[in-house]
Amino acid sequence: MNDVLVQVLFSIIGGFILLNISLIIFQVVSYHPYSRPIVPIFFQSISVFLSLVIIILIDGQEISLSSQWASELESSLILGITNIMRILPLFYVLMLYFLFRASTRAPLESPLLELLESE
Amino acid sequence: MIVDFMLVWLGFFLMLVGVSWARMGPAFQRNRYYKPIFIVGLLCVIGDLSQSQDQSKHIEEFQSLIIDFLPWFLTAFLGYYLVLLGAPTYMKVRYPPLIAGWIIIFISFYLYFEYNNHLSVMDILVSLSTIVGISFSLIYFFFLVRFVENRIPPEGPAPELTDSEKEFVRKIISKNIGGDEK
Repeated sequence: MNDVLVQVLFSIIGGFILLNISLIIFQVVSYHPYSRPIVPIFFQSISVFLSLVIIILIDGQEISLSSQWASELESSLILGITNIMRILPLFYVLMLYFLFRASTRAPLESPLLELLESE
Repeated sequence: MIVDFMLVWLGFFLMLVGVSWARMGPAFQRNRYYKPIFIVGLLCVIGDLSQSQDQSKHIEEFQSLIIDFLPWFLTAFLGYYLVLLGAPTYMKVRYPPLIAGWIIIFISFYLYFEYNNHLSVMDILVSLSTIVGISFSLIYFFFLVRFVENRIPPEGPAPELTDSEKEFVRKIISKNIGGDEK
């Protein structure tokens, strides 16, 4: 397979695994009586496992207990975090526009706020 | 490999826990310890970077990327914070933080180009494909939550208030709107 295509595929899977694991952790540690996390966590865990299977197959390894599951998981997470750190400046540039608008707009007219400022 | 990098993963986990505790609902049950947990996680990640000995190439690359990332990111974060503080969102404009914030933002972009000049356009284009994976994951999560929520049977009508509850509500309303209390 084309080298760039493999990198793109790994990046997509890396982002998918990173966010799924983050959401699993979020659901576990922020559990409260009104949340129902069991079904989403179960299906997300299966998805992470299947993603790892795809990565192992693309790497040309055989699926077995001795496969480098933890190592592949770590590599995927590293790839996801790395890619997010690389593309973050693009979002910062986009945010500059909104920041510029916030810096230049007129303040809201409100008698309560004027009262607050006069104190 | 995992053990070598354990402190960074512990830090990553603690940062996620901090963010989760800050955003968990309902609002009145949010955990108040999210800030210290997040800061401890950040310190774990940064602290482990100074101990890079005999690491694999993969991890060394990751560590160098974090070292290139932190200077401009922390500077930009401070700049954005100051600009929002000085911007006339609710109050009148406050020029000292506003101007200082914009200067710091421009410094952060200088730092970005200073530390990340080895990145190519191709690297960034390949990295952009991560957004596809993240979007898949979010859509998948959305449908899973929707599926679970739709399976919850609707609750029956609430029972009528008892006399003591009615009296309690009446007292609260009287106290707040100043009605005559017998």
